[in-house]
Amino acid sequence: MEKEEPTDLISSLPQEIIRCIVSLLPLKDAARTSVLSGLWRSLWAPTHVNFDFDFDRVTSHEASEDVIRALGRFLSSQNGSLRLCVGFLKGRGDCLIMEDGWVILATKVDLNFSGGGHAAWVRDFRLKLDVGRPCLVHKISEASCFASLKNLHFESVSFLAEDTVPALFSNCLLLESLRFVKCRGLQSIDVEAASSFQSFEMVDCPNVASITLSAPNLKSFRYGGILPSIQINKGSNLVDSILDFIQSPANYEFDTEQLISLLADLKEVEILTLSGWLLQWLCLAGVIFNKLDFQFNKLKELWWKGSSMDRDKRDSMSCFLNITPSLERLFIDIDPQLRSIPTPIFHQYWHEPHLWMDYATVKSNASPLKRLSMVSISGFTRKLDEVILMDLLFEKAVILQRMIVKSRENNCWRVVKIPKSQMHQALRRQWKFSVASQENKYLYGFIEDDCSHPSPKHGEMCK
Amino acid sequence: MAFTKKVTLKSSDGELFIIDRAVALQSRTIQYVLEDTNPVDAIIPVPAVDARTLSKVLEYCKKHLIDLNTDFEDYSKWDKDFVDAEVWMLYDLIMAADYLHIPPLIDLICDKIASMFKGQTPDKIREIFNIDNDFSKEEEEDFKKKSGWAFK
Repeated sequence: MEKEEPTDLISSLPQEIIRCIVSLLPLKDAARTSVLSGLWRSLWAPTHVNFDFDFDRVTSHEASEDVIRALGRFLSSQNGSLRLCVGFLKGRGDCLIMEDGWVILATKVDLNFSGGGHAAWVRDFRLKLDVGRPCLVHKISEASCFASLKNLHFESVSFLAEDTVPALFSNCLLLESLRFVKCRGLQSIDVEAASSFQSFEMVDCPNVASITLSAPNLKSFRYGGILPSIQINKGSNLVDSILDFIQSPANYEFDTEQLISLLADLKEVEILTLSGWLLQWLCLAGVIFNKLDFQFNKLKELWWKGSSMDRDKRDSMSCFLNITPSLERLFIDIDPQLRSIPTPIFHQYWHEPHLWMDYATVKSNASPLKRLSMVSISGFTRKLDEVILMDLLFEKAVILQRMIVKSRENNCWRVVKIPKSQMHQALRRQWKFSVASQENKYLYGFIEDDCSHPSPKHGEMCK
Repeated sequence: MAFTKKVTLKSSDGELFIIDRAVALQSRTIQYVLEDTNPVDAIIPVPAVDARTLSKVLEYCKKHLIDLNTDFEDYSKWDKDFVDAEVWMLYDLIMAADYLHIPPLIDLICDKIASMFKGQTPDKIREIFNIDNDFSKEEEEDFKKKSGWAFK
């Protein structure tokens, strides 16, 4: 075949080869191939497997045994990758609606036991997945086809999975990543993983109260949702973490020690997303970050998320930045759409109250960030607290090259700091507008900037 | 029975390749031909593969036969360079590897092609491999919406 011919250089390959290629892709990339063309779409024609059980009669254990057996038999008859929708029928004529589910054999599984919003389907359950060593109790030959599974993605998994999931996936010694999305009813997850396991992600699982992870080579831990109790054992290899806690349960007891120990587990990370209110609460509870016995020495990129910027949030961030000596990039995302978290009253203090200092003291207490060269603030509204934050960051970041500020309307400016005495007309003409600093010694000039190339968001996954 | 040590392959465009039998045996297709017919000094036609592609495939077979003792790292470096080729060449190679049935070569190229898919947008993938998009804009958007998580 000559290079000049504008021929399709892949679609005409034998189907087994295309399936082989797809099976080597991460789940997202594999799923994306379904929009390439009609031919690729046809590769992904979903195979529907519906189970017809009367759940009022059988116990969930019996049902899941049947599910495992049927699913296992079906899967072992398939070669290569396929997309599978697993649905359940409840009673006659009452068909549950299935969402798009993907099961890709051999290397990836994306399981969607969707319950179609049936009230009966929301029942509390716990998951314990031990892939650290094969579990002989669940030695189901049909399930052995998952032995080379690398990525598991659970969406809308219901209580039915309590037995099914461990039984099907305990053989996955090569498992690399695990993802849970919208699993209502899931109360606790306990994963014991082998050395190949690298990534854990959980989003929108509203009933989760506890996450226990034991994975010697875990690199990435991402969580978005209400604040559960999180325990990461052997997590010293973590490089990437998202802790995006949107709210805490009404009767939740804020456990400062537990959160400090979680932060200590994450101390080796290089990229981190944190909820602003978490730092604020910790500070209100009396934590002074640079008095802890650990620092985030490797942290290069920090994403701060919050619904607003006020004095407590700013000062607690400043306090946290005292233990991130290697920070290079700081992203502050003020998003009013995030739910604001009412602050409780803290009675106990570990240390001296910290947040009651005046701004001058906070500023003089701030240790310099010697490597911070880029700061981005989005959701900027020119409020005084935000301007003070800019002032503080200009003070701390001794080599700051770029401060980018983005308004809620997506206008983008680069900010420069000029002493008032050096102000002249030529400069003024470049500026869109300017703001005076706290002590009125400096002026911040806002120069229009191109924000058509936003940097990729770390916390993209979370609402 | 005494076998000749050499085997002659004939490409689709008529070029002859005289190679060691052991090299040729890495292709299961040729292995079956040799076992079935046991042709002494005969020419085995390879009608689906042109000379340029066949010589490249044989280069792979020779390397993987001779250097069986080379340590893993050297090997993977050589493999990596081997598949560092243009897309049309990879296409020809994988078709040839499929026809000649050389599983490790198929795996190697699949791996390479998969790496070209990773992290790319559908538009970019279509461009790389010349895939004709026969969907309407609406259809494509509809698919994207249904599997939204894959396009974030």
